Amino acid sequence: MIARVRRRTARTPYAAGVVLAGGSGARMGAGMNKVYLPLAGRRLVSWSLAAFGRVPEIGVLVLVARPDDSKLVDWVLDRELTDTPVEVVYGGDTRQESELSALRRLASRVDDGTVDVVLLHDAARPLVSPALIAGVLHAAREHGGAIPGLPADDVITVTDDVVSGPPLDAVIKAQTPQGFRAAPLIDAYEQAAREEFVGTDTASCMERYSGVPVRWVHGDQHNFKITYPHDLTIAEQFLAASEYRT
Amino acid sequence: MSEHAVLLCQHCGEEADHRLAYAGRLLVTSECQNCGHTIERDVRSRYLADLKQRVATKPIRMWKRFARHPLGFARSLPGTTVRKPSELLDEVRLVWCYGRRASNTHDRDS
Repeated sequence: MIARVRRRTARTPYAAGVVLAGGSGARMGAGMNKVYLPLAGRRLVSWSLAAFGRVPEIGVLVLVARPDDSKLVDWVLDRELTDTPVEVVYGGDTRQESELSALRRLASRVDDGTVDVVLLHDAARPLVSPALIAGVLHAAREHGGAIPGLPADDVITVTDDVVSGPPLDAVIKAQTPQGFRAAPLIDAYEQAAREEFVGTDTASCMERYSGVPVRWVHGDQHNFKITYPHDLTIAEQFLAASEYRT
Repeated sequence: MSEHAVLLCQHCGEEADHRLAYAGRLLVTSECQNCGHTIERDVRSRYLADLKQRVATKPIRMWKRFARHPLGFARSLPGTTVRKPSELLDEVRLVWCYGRRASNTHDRDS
């Protein structure tokens, strides 16, 4: 379904933002997909879509959702994202299949050169800021790939419950959005699909099937993933303190 | 308003269904349906400020909805008008009930 498509006058390439709201089918249970939970007056997913919508270089915004969530998606787009054009793709059972569905939606625009970079973002990280999105986008455009992360200098290795090594250097806790030049990204995902490779995240698939260097961009403490119920209260307080802007 | 979603429980460590109850824009309580662990918040003062803002912005929000879907808006208006007072009363009850309990047992979120 295409809700609305942003018109652009210039023919300069633009970036595509892909927000993944598929969740994991095995974790759904009887309740709703957590990315549609209310958070400070709007649904989780609409916070990140709105943040992408405020980045001028993002020319197209794709939401990847589960078919079961179609009514919620329509409701969110109609009530909470009236000024943000969003294309909706109904994705697969895994994160990687969902990403591939979105990339196939964008493929023709990548081929004709209108989309040069794709940023993939997890909808369970509602506090992503336009500044971080723009930072990842610029680094991906310049270097080929970029992922945001926070230094994890307190990580140590453990073997059989025994500390087996000193704190690891140069380890980061990866966040999203992860950005890559569009053409190699699509090639990597198509090859991964042919070989039935399932990576842990976008970067792992790129590492395996593409020679594109991936740069680390300093992430944001607030860009955490909603995992525990308490995360919702922290996110709510952050949004209230920032006058409901990410 | 109450919702259910699977979240990771910080008490039992399981990914379990949680019941979450909201008053306006504020999460008031969450309860793990696996172990019963509950988070209760005292949001009484914040609720009043939030309610004030919601009331102040209601006309513009209603107008925007009307502009987008005049027919649907007109059809839903009588039902909404009837339901709204009891919804508001339920919100107030929820906020004050959990607010008192949370303040008696050390608010875990303030």
